[in-house]
Amino acid sequence: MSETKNEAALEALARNDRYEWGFSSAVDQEFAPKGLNEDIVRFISAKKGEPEWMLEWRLEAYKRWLEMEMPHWAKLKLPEIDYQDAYYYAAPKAKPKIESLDEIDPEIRKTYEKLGIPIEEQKVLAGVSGAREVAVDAVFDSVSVATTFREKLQEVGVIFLSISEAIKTYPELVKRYLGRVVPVRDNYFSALNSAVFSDGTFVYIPEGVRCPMELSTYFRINAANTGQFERTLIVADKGAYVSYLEGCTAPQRDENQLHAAVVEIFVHEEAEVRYSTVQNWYPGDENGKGGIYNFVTKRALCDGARSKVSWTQVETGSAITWKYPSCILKGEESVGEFYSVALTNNYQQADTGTKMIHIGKNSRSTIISKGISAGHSDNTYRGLVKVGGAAENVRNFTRCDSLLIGDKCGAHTVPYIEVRNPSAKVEHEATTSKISDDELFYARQRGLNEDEAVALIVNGFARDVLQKLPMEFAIEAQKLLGISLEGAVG
Amino acid sequence: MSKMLEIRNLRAEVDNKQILKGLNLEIGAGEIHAIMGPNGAGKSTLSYVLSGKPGYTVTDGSARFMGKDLLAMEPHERAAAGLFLGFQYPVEIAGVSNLHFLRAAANAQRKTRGEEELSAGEFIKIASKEAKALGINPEMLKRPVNVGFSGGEKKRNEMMQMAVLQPKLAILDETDSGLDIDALRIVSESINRVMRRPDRSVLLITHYQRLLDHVKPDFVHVLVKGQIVRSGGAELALELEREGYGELVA
Amino acid sequence: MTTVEDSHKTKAALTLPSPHDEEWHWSRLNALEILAGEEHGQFPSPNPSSFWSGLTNPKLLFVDGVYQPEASHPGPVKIGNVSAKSQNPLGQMTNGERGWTLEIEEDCTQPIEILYLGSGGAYHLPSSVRLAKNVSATLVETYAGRGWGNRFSYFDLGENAQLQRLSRLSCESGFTSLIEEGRLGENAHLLTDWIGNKGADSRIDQRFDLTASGAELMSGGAFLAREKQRHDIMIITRHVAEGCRSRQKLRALADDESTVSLAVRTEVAASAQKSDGEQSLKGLLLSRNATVNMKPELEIYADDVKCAHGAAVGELDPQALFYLESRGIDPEEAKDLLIQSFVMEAFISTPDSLLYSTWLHDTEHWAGEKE
Repeated sequence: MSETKNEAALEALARNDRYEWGFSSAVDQEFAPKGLNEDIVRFISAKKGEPEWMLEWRLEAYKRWLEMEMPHWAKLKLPEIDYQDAYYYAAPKAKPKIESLDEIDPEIRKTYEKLGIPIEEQKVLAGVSGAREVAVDAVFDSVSVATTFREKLQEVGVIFLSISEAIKTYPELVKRYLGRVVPVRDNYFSALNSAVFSDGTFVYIPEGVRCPMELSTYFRINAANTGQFERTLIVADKGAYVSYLEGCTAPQRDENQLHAAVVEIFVHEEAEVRYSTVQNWYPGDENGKGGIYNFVTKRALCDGARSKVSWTQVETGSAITWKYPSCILKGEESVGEFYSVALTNNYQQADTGTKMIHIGKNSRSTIISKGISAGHSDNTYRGLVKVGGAAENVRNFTRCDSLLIGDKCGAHTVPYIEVRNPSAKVEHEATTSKISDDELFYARQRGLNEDEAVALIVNGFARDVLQKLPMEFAIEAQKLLGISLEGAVG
Repeated sequence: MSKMLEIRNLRAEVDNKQILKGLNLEIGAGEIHAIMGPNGAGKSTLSYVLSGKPGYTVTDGSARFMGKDLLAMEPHERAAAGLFLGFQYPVEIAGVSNLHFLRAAANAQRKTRGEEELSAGEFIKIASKEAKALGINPEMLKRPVNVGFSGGEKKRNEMMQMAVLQPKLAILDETDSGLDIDALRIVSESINRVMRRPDRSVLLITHYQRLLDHVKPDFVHVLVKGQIVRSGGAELALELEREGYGELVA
Repeated sequence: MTTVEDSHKTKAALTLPSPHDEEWHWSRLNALEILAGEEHGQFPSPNPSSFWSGLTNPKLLFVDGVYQPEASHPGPVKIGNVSAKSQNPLGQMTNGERGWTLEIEEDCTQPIEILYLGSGGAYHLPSSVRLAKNVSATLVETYAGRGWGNRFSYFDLGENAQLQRLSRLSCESGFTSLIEEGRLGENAHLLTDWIGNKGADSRIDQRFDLTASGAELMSGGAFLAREKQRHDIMIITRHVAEGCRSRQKLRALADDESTVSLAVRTEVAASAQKSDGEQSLKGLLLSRNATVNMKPELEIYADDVKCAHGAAVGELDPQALFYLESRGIDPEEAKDLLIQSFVMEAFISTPDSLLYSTWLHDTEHWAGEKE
């Protein structure tokens, strides 16, 4: 069955080559029956060999989800989603225990090679000296297929595992933090995710440890009609530091696919977590057909004093993006940052932004958002800055800029500011502009073609954010911005 | 061998207004030409039409650049073919560093011409050398293109781009305006050094003789109401400086 | 005296939306049920003359929504039915009620002053202003006394017409709701200033579609809130035609346990190229328990537009306070001075007018009363 699907996808690929990551791999898949009910939840839990408490947790989440309604406040034209018409579990069939990348199904391996991202790390495996070390957890459809560098990380006490392994190996640790930052009933999609998540990543950085390498998860939806619901839990203990990268791609398919992930970050005293995302799920074709529905809940709790979280995201993919990586700044002098580039083209819709909830004294936050709209797309920044009554001397600075390319698209800015403490200083600035003809001509006179000129100017527009990304990601992000806009002018 | 630039009976309009009204001009390889003329004569329009700025419509005539139909080419193709426009008002591009912009331009042109792209290292070497020659602080290479530059800095920056891109034909639109005497000397030296060669040509658009003291033109043309009304040698510029455009405009 | 704060116990016949139904509204309209059910009180409570200017100009007095001919010089203003109707839930309540109309073909050189006194209970009063081509007029409206004053104002400005107006929210208690709608002709200018300097809660809903090119809508407001007062302002401006301008300059000062909410949305349709929109929202919190909420929203579908917004919430700049004090100004006066300059930014009509002197008087009055 998956094979015919794959053939169809390959045909689609032959028709359209614009989405560079739109290949699908001929991997033998194992599916749970289509649809969603209590039995499916039990099936997933059983497949993963989970302990009883985890199953209970899932069932409770499923019950909550049934009582909830899909939110409609975002500026998105949401289609009816038939939750019974999707597979909630798909795993590559040939899945023994994998210790290194070499042991992975060669088809999956090929997929990752095509994705390009883990190249650095393959170099390390191949013994290329001087290559930078990045530990990778690769999630293929619903299942984590490879976590690399585990031993090296274990030497310093860093736990970097797929979450299903973590539930079995470190149940107490997972139990202590799972759902602490994003409660099951937080929202419709977090409840759904809590019920059916099939894998994801768990990271624990012990007290005082600076993670010796960047950690990375690569998400890939391969099987057709499959929802992907991964769960990421990161805990940085006192004084710890980690930089975490997340990349996403999906094959090109005519039907829509659902992605509803939850990322929770718990940050203790004086710890710091940097979380970078380059989201390049398949955005649909130029007529708005197909593409991923991306409903993601990401939240960090800066629990301890002087803790810090920095979200950086480059969002170029997905047909629909609904995503607000947020910071609860509970610790005194805690710091939250949000840097975002969201680009929409053709019929894409993005409603994204952040929430900075200031509870702790002297907490600070910075929000820089760059929205780029082209084609017939709609791009919305939605953000909340909230200062509680007890939060003395809070500082927030927000800057949101929108760039419009063409006159069929929309750019929207919806900032919410709620301040209950007089010592707070909250500033918000925003501008909307278009690429000026003079800028375009100037760049073209110097020899750049129209697409190159647009890419150059857009990268300039997004620079403040791009430079917050780790090097490899920044380069990929720059390329992505250019590719996503090809043909947008003219 | 064909001429560097051959313009025949060129007519062009902007916003439905006829600006160039049958302009003829030939520039040979190795020649430096100056175009002078009162405000509104069509000098900048000529530079924009030749470089292909959108909004400038050619209604009649032809322009050939090294034998090729210039008017049929896209702006970036003209640049790759070797046409450089020194802008009267260089454009500011926020967030894009000078160095990055210039390297992107140089490599795009090399790619179009089927040449090997320059590595970042090679490129920085070239750009730094040219910056130094123009008295540009290397720090300026890292700043966004023209953002926050003074008028003089912008013009020097244009000259640095020219030096790096090594064009065949440079059209310099009032490159001398906004320059003090020292800067004028530096800019002039750079024009002479980069462009005064048997296989390169320059078209200077200027109001003043003072640039022509430093960059000696082989030919001077007077543009009035969209046509060249008089041509001569370097002495013509001196005459105009003395006597003004009076009779020519009438 | 019943305050809005403790009156949300009863549910009655009014079908008004609650904050739960409405996006980003913070006033509790269900509390109005009580005010609506109250009897009118004794008149006069405040003395009308303390609100009038010394000018000899058209002056109209309404008490609890009823026109008082013997105390008025209506000039060109007519009393009677108003044809304009509102769709707004609050505005609808004035449909069919008696109100006033101003329809003029020539400039009205003198400002027109209208005073609404409330003695308790509620009144619903519509009005309509129609200015012919090239005509200009000035309007000062003052709300004083108690109770719930519910006003719907309709504006129809002809080509190149100009209306400058000031609305003073000066009720001691109760609630004042202002619903403002209308249409602006080509190059017409509507300049509106609001000032809230007394004790009543307020709600302002201004909604305009700019459908003729070159129209200009400027709205400024300063809202000074104390105790448990709430001011709730929502302005929606939709640019439809080319080359229109809109400005919203709102300043919120919140003391004690008060809340000021400013929501401004500027929409630019794909047809509205060359739109020029600017939102400037600023809040000053003067006490630990005060709240300022802001939502400066842009919704843009045209690419050749100039739209910007700025929003800032904070406290008085200690550096500036110190600088003034170091020059010999006592701290209270320094604070007043800074508040004054903060509030002045929101005044957008012509300086050197009755509007300006009234505005100045009201802001000083607020500062003075505080001591």
